[in-house]
Amino acid sequence: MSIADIARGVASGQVSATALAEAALRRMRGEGREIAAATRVLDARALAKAAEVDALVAAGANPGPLAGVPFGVKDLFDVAGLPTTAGAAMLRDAPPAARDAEAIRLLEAAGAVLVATLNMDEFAYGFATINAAFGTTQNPHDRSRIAGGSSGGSAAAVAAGLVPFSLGSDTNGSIRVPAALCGIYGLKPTHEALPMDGVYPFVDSFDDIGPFATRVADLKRVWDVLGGRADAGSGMRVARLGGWFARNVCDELVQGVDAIAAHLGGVDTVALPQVDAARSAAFLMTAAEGGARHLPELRKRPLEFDPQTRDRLIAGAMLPASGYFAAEAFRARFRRAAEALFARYDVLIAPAAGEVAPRIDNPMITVDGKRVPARAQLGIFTQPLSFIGLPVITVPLYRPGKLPLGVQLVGKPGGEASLFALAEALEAARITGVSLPESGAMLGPKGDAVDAG
Amino acid sequence: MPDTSTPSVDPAAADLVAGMARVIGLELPDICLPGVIAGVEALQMHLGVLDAAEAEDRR
Repeated sequence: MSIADIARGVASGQVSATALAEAALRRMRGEGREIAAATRVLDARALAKAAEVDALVAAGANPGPLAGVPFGVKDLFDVAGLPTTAGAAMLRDAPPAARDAEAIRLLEAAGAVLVATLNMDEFAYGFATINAAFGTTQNPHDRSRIAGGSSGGSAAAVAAGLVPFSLGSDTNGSIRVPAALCGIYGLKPTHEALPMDGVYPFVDSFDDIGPFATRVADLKRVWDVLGGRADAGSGMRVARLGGWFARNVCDELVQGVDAIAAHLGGVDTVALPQVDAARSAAFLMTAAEGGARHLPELRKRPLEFDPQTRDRLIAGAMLPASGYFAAEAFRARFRRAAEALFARYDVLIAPAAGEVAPRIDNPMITVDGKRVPARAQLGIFTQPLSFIGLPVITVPLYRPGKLPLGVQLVGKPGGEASLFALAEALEAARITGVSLPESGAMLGPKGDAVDAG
Repeated sequence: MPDTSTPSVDPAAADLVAGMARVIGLELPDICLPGVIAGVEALQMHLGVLDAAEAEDRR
């Protein structure tokens, strides 16, 4: 059942927002906790908001385009009255947020109901959602595998059918990687296209927020409610990225991109220059900005950090300024190279992650023939793109019964309309699409909006 | 009993990293040394990639 169907059902009185919220809260307390996707289940708040929506319906008022739709947010969005943990144990007792993040305010003004905060890598520094304090988020398609990160809880909650949509954040791939590994749609918008007020920062110059969903139309509806505006037209000149983006990719993913290209009647293969350096520059700027942000606490209480985050942040804080400025200068050159490519094309196709989700007991991937840690390396195809602020939708290859693989549709700044149009066309052709795991059928293909039990 | 000892590291690398940390006001706990050394090595590798790209641009 789509978000539009749910909202229509609530607005017409066929189903109550309270019933939907109660069911979503039950799912979050059950499977949400089991797979370490949910960090806090917000019973009182959700039921109060749902009651408000039901009262509007009873009064004959318009409850909004997301009427009664339950959702969750990555644990770095401010939720009024709660500490914003950013996935860090040391912030569990931080002063509570005075108000909701602007994105939450907009969604609830449209009738949506916040039911949970969702797990992440500490301070969003990782691609695995392996969190020493809040647990490792399990992939709903195979619980022995990671969900990806850093917005792993947000992706897993949607892939498991716990909520129809969620919000995450993406600096280097933290929406796109977990969307790919969990087999759902994820949008990383043009830099600064969506409101960042009340979002715990990581790297200001390329942090963004965005939604996860199981349908392109759902993703677009949330984007619209959040005030997303795409002003670069909706052209459909498509190419696939070769070079860096054609290496370290499993055969099935190559075949998936081939199928997309064939559906479009064949597309050019093009290359961005020096993608390896773009990835390195993104890595360096992330380390430096992240390290600088957390240096005061690293000085005071280093042992309270997640060790895997702490040591990378400390190293980043020690990066000489010359290294940071070199990375920044390279970014300007790389942006110009991308602009030249986008003069000829509207959408570029690239892998999101090169292989299926790694196992939790051995979270490694293969890059250039070597086994390397997934936590730091899963973003090799995503980092070079967000680094220059490009919008991207990750789409899942449609492959029921198999572990998910995802593809990035990359646009020019402001080019989200082209991305939505192509994603809708591929979804309609069944080349891409979500196949939910059997265990998470509560908002599944049969469309049950509430618990069967 | 959990192993709380510090994993062995190259003493020269440990001294270098501890010195760099002091420059930014950080007394590095021994337990951090292996991870921080690995982190610094990763940064060095990426700086090398960036240098190579700049050299290519100058040619």
